[in-house]
Amino acid sequence: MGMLECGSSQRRVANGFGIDVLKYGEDVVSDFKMPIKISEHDRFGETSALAGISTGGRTDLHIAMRGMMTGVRYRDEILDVYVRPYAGAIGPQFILKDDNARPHHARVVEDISSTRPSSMWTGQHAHPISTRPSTLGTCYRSSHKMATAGGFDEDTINRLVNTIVKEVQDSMLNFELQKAAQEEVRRSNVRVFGIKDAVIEGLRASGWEMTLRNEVYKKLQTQSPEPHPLASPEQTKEPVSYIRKAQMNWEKRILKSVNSMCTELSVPLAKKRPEKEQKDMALKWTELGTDEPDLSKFRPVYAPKDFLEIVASLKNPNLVESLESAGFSTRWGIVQATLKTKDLHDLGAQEFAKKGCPITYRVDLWKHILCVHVDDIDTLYYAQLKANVLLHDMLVDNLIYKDVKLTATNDDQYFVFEDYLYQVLLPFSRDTVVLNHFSQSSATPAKSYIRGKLGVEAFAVTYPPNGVIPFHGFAMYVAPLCFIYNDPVTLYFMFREFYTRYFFHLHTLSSHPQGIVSLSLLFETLLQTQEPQLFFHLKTVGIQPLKIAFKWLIRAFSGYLASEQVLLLWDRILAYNTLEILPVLALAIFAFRKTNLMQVASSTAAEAVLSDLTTLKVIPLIQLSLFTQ
Amino acid sequence: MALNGPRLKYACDLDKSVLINNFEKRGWIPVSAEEDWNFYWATVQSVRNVFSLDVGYRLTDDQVISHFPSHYELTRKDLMVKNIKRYRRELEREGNPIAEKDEGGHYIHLDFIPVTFMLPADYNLFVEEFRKNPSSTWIMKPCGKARGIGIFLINRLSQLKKWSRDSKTNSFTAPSSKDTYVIARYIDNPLLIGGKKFDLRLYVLVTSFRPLKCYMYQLGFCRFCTVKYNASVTELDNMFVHLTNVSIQKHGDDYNAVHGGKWTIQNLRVFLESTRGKEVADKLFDEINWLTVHSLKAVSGVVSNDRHCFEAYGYDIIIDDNLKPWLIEVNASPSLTSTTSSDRIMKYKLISDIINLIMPYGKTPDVKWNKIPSKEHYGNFDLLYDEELAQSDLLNLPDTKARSGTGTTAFRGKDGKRPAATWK
Ligand SMILES: Nc1ncnc2c1ncn2[C@@H]1O[C@H](COP(=O)(O)OP(=O)(O)O)[C@@H](O)[C@H]1O
Ligand SMILES: [Mg+2]
Repeated sequence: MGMLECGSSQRRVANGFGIDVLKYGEDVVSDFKMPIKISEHDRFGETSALAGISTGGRTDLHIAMRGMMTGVRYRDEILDVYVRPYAGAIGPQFILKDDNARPHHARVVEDISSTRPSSMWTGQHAHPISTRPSTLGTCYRSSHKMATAGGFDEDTINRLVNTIVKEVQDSMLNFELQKAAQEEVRRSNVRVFGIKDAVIEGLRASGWEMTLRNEVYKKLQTQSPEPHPLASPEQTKEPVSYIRKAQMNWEKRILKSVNSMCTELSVPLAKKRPEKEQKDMALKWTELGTDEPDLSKFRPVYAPKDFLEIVASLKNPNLVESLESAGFSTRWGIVQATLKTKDLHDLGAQEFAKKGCPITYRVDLWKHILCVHVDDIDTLYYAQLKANVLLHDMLVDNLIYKDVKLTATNDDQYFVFEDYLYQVLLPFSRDTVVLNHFSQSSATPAKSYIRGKLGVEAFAVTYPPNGVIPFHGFAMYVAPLCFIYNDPVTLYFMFREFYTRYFFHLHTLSSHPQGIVSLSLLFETLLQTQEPQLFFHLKTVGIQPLKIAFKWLIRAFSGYLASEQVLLLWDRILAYNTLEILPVLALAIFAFRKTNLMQVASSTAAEAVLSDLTTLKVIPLIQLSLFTQ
Repeated sequence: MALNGPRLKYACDLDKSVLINNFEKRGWIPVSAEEDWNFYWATVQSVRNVFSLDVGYRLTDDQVISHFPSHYELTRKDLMVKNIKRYRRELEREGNPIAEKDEGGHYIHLDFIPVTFMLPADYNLFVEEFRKNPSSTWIMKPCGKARGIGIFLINRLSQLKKWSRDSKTNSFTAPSSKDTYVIARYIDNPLLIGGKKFDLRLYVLVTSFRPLKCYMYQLGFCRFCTVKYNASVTELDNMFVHLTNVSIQKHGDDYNAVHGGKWTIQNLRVFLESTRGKEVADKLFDEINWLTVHSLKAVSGVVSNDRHCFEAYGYDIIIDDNLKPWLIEVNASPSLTSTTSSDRIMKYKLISDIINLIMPYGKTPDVKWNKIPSKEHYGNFDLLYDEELAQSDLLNLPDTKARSGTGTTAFRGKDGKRPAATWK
């Protein structure tokens, strides 16, 4: 009956939700209009992808899977249509074209090219004629090393390796590797027995080994170890049950809010755009900021402040109250969750404080670290996402517009990039590849069902297609990247990678060390241990430092520091592959403004002291906080 | 440090908080322009009066004033072009390598203003140039106006009928500056960021023209149009597309009062260094410094170099999509109105930094001083060029000939305890 899965009764007003509707100077919706019946669904019938139809006071969603761009369809349709003919044209003919090819030569080529990475991956023993460590063997070992570093056991590693091998086999890279191997064979004039080594050597020299290594690295980054055989799926996503429950409740609240927005504003979750609108939008694609929809009634689904309340309300039920009251608890901050956090020593102080990368290399270095190398297929994929944006108008689009207008458009560093943000965020919401990251996340994407089939999995689709409902400030995850990536497609894939590797942690409840709960806790703990005097003062006058620092953390400081400084900070997130630098910097800022903070007696005063961070220099600050203890 | 200085007397023609707040912070005493002031932030009209022969007023050694009486040699659109053209011819005549030309007859190092003619005086020359490339767009600007007033774009000769008539009939009586225009090749390939055109507003402080002493302010900004750039003919009279003046843009529907379409030079630098590389960005900013110094050298011989004067100019520069900077115009009285809060902070600092360079340590001004402040008084200014220091540098060098050679080397300074002679 409902649109998004969430509890039973739909309340019209999204209050009691902790969202300050008046905060943005928006009018509270007072006159509730009865929704107009839209009868478009009949017209699109089968071809419609997402069609929301509102009737009689509530908005029901009709969704047909057909038009949706799923990961599978991406492979089946885009890859197949464009890649297979191409591959077919090149594959077998390639050998035939080789003028020097004698029969046995050709056979070897076939032999090598049919040697799937799998047999190579299973280790050197599987190699019949390998006399020295092969390229792929080295890769295997390095992946093994990385996996061991991650603390997995032998079994897990084997499973991991198998999965990765399978994935690499299915990827374009495998095809390209084969092609390159053939090329090597064609070029080298070696005899049959030396050919394997020569090919491997050649692949190494031409950089393919590096590409393969990077691919393996990337896969490892996004691969979670196989779950414990007895663990339920949800335990795998988040082992700590009270955090898991909290995240589920939080998701319910978000959905409730989205649902009531639909109802109140009688806007469907998604509807097909009329043809004319599609055309207009296509024409205006690079200047979507000038003619935005009427946003006056929309409000962000939630703001960092609301999320902080949830983080603060997390409490380990196993903690015995009496111990706390007896003064055993040292928890003084807002975060009551008990998670293990690192201290400064664990964080590898020197590592963090290392010099950043020269600005000119950043463009390539970041791409390299995140393994983003935009090729034709990516470009095509982006074009498909864009086409999907043009086809359907979604409720989340309004949220995206609203967010950009409230944040970047008014920001004196990012306003020039406004239009890029739409070109990234609108396609992003349609990108089903983003769904993959939920396997690493304690969050679960919202589901939406075809009318009458609520709860029937076969009729479920995620909403929005990428599973991510944006909140106030979400656009700021993209904004700093606009300074370094001028091309919207590269910008898109860089952002997607940043989000699915790091930023999703910042607005999801989890016990993960990169998660916002751990980061918040780390900040509070660091402040207490590193700046006891300041901590004591703030505590005495009743100021909660996390209330100030939380907004910095959740946005990875985007929009708070000067653009250049945000980039320097993100350099380090990438270089050390952790978000833990965020609380370290937050601590450093408190320490740096300590003299002023020691004089404040109210939260407002403390906030004033810390309101403008645009003059701060990240690197010396971090060094200051790490080395002057 | 400035706070400890003597209680100076100041006069001020402009009721701008960024000025008054600075003076008050220093504990200076306001006086009227008729009284004995030490520091006078004056309008160009007042300066003209102060220096006019009829008044017969003589300034004492402890008085400084905020304009050079003949600043218009640089700041009136037609005179600036005239002076730069003359300067280039003179250098060429001297055989100076800076004035080298390419095969097409363009100056290699001094081609930094768009081709410009005076109207009506140069009408025929303009027509000749126009016909060489009849599809190009030109921009008409009244010589004596500012803030984008009276500017329009043309792409057909017929749009200039009025001026062609004037050039014939009015050949005896020189038209007043009110009726004269400059017509300049329109830079139709500006560098766009986020699809929008912008220009730079840079502040340049001159403390002396002979010898030339000038400084570039680091906190300049880009001024963005609110509407996407579109070079098509249909948009030729949409000034929101073409003119970057804040005074124009703020009337646009999409004007944002929070940032006012202003983007700091620092942001521009980060963007360019990242997307185009540090070398490219460095080269651009070097070229901007280069054209600034030469625009000043072009007028240093004709501006009366009164020792009581200093002046903070507002340079308008457009960067094209080859990352070449073009000097558009120089303003004698850049706006001191603050459109946003960061604008206010920046302009307050600008005034403060100017005062510190003119009167280091907050001391009573002394026009006999050599005007070589130590680096600690630069604030957010960088020394662009000090002719005096450059000359003594040359004297101190064994191989003087090599130093007076070509291109930028003539300006290259040394790092030392003493300020270097140039930004290089
Ligand atoms: N040759 C040109 N090419 C492109 N744009 C120009 C050119 N000349 C002026 N403009 C635009 O018009 C604006 C106003 O011109 P400007 O010469 O500065 O006159 P004003 O004194 O009215 O400010 C400039 O800021 C710039 O945006
Ligand atoms: Mg101007």
